[in-house]
Amino acid sequence: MTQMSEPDGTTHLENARNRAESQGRLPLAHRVHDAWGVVYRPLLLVSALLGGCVIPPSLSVGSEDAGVNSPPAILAVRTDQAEFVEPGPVLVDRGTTAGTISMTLLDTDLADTLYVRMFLDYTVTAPNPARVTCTAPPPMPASPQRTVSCDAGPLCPPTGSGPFNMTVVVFDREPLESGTPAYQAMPPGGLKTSLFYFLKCQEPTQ
Amino acid sequence: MKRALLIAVTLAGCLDVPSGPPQECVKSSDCDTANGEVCDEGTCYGNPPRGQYAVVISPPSSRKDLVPREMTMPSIASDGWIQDLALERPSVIKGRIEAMCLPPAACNRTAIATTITVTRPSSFKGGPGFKLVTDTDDTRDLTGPSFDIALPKTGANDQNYVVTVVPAGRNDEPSGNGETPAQLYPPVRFSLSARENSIQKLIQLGGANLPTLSGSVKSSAGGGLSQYRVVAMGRWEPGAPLTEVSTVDYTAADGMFHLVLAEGLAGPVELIAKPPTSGTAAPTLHMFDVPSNTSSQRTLLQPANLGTAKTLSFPVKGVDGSGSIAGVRGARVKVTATLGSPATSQTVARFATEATADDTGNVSITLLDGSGISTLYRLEVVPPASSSMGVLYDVPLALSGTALPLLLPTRIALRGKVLDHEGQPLEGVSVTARPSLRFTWSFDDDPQAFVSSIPASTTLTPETGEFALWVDPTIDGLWGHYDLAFDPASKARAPSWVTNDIEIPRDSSQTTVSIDDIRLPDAAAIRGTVLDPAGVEVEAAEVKIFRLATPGALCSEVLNPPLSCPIPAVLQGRGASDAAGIVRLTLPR
Repeated sequence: MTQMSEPDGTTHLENARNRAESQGRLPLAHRVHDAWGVVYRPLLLVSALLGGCVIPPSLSVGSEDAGVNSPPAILAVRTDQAEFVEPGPVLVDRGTTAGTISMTLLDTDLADTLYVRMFLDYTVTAPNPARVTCTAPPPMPASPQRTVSCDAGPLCPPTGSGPFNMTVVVFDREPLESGTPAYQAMPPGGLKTSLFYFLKCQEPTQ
Repeated sequence: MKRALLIAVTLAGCLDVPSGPPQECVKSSDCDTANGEVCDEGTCYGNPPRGQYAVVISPPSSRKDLVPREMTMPSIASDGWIQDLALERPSVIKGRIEAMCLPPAACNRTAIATTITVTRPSSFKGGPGFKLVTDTDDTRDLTGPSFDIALPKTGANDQNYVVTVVPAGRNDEPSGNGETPAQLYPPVRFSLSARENSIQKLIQLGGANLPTLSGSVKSSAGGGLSQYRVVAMGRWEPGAPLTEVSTVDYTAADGMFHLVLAEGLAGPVELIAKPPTSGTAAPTLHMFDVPSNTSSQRTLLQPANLGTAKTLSFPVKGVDGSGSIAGVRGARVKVTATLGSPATSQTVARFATEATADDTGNVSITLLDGSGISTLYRLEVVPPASSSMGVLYDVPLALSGTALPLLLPTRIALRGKVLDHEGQPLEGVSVTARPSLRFTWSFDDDPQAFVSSIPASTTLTPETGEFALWVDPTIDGLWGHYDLAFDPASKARAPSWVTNDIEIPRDSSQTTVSIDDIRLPDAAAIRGTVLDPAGVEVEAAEVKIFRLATPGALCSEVLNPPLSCPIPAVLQGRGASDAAGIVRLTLPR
């Protein structure tokens, strides 16, 4: 059996030579120690007030106009059964047994609401509106990482097995009713990120 | 005194920790210890709900050495710890996909490019089951495997996998690089038990005695129709969905085609000839009830009097929130027409075209204007998600005399308020309305697929917890029933929740339906550690907990449920494991 390590009670020579002890009785030390009230006390106060105290970063940077916005990131996209890997192919049931698609998202702008849109066969010249939409509110309590579940039922069209070109886009501002690119335009300053998969659709298997 | 001043300055003057919800507990006595709760990480864990649950654990995609696992719920201790969230090593299936060797022809050992789909029903009623799809490459390397698939091992109580291999190259139009595998070999399907750690498999495509379908695609005048994609749709087993079960062929100028059917099909097949997408508008031709167990000849004949292509432009409008009539940007418009009936055993022609309304709500579609089809058009319109305008389904559309522009019906607003278990309004809850199973399964097959494809209406609750969702009060003459799904913000101390089957009152004059406040149940916090087979913690694995579906009377109460009545198990909680492999979830009590 392996022995557990235990505290070593023996006194090593090196430790003995460097044992901590008060030097306050020495003349030089006295002078320094006497200066405590003159030098260190104000310094400590100032440092405590300015530099030494803990000031955590504000959690509301992204909600202020002057704040620097950072883009959202998609950490994972999963069905009820497995994680999607770009570019797929990935398989989703059509209709009521499609289940949900969950996404793990990251945004350092903790107050940002994130808007998820899933498009099929979207191109700039022939844009199709999103087939799936869902929204990830800011986590409570605040955290850069969040998850969102989207109903996958409407993802597959009524007919056809694909493969379809599926684009998952996450916006940090709500997409506008108009503007270009269609269905993906945002207010100024909005940022987005996306992933692409080849989607195959199948009829319910159960 | 001085030190006290310093500490006071440090603590009171400097710390600017962001405020959040107060900690639920500091010590266990703050929790419901009588029911086993303990305080940890500022949260009261434990006192899990009773009920029958199942768990699905999915490894992160980076762990190729692990596979998803389904199991009935392990015991949850009264302090909230789940036992045995252990992932397993896969059974690895490797092999090659080659053409069957048919002497005296020389054997071609080149691996064939395909798509392999592997499915297995869930081990619990309504569970997600196992689904995997992967593409395999063609390779001239005669020694190495051409596919490599990791599957959860088949246990004593598990069903076998169903493996479907579909040769690649099933495009709408012929490849410019000669014949594709899809033109040479039909799909194959087989059952697979994955009990071993490693399985070698040679999959052979084609065969000597497979039934064939030959014939031609002709115009009403008798001439061949070229560039049509011809394929047979059939079922691998009785009651299974229709899928492509033959080789694919593309007609030449003479309209001739030749298909090879897969082996082991159930029942007759449907022969389909689809016109080229780049050509002029034309209907897809269907022939039903073609025997799948014997070879035969068929002629698909295009109906007469289809006329010529005519582009029709019109606006799609609806009444917006301000009460004014406006174009519906992004509305998906589909127009179909069916000539003939499957009962006649002659060719049935189905014309379909789709378009999306532009920024002003205008849409342009190309239709055929002949007397044989112009009175048969039916229209579907699906507005974008969360639109206040409703759908149209199966509406007659005549090329002349139709009341254009289209005016979509106005949806009805489902209004309510989400409260936490103490009755306080809950902010940041994602609320989604989707057609309930009772509603969806009340339709025939075609409208059922239409209803399922309508984008779900979703919104986020403000501080007041209120929500309003736009839903169609009726579709195709049936009054709606909707499920409302509530998904609180990440890390919130509230569970996900579904309120089932909210019925829209049968009053066509109302524009709003107010529903009772939705009070989410209390959340039980539970946690567990996800481990690999070596007992090492796994980060970024996802754990999902489903409440087992209870067999109800729904499938006997609706008109058209699927044969297997697949009522999905209700997802109650999901979470991903942290760096220490710990996953934290909430379950509704």
